[in-house]
Amino acid sequence: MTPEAASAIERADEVLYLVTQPLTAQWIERANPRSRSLHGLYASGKPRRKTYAEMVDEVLAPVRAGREVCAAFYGHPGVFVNPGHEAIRRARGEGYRARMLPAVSALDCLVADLGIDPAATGLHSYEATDFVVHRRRPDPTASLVLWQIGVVGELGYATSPRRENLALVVDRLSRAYPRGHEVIVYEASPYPLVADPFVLRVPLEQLPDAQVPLLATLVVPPARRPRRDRALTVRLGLS
Amino acid sequence: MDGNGGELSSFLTALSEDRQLQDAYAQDPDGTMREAGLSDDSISILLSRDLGKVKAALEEELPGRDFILFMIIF
Repeated sequence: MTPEAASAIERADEVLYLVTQPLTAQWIERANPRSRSLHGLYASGKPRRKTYAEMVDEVLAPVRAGREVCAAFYGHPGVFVNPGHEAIRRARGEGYRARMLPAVSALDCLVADLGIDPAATGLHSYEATDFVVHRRRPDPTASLVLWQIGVVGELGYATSPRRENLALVVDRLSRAYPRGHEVIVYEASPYPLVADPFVLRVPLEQLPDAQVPLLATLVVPPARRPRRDRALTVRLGLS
Repeated sequence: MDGNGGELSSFLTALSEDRQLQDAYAQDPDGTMREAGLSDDSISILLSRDLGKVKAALEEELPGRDFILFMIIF
């Protein structure tokens, strides 16, 4: 957590939070006793969009009452956090001052833990279900990050990844990568002082049978080098 | 060691806030944990540095607060 985010939590009149780690929840509640979780808005069978809309309403209600509100989300509040963006958009639309503080996302962690430099390889990323459903075309010359690989196709509560859905990801990736291409199953450590990140390197074709944590991200390293446009290289004076 | 949870969560909370404790832990994890009064089980879990084990132990200490969150937007 950045010092700015910690300060925002500590000084808010009200803190609404949604996190995945119990220790994080405990820290927030100790940092500001006027904190409460938004997790109770989730319910089995409840449409996710309705849950998100209720989260936004929960955040905006005290804002409209004139209170300084801090909404805290796991990871980066703008990365895979629909209510984070929507709450700010609506608050500003209603004339209130609202600001998103940047934070550390899983992408930032994997860049550090796996030593991936986007400048060296290029980098593109998709949400894993989106990648499959929308038939996204990966660029095998650049690093690919697929978010939420552990919950492909899940719209409700999940306890473990479904192998058949992971197989769909493999099938999609196999059109651009060799089936033996090494991929990396990754989960950032929320407790880096005492626990290492989860890193599992497996051939692409073995992904459905691999140990994939629910919160995992899949990293697909480039399979080949990009082709250089010689004419443009000369034109730019780079030859 | 104070805290609202069990020994592991209390220790990790202290570790995240106390730079001297961080330095001591970096130099001698086992000794620092023993001095803090952690049980052999907790010490073993932390020395493993296994993310799954640490998360499982914390979820056991803080029941009712563990959940998985994910979002898919179409």
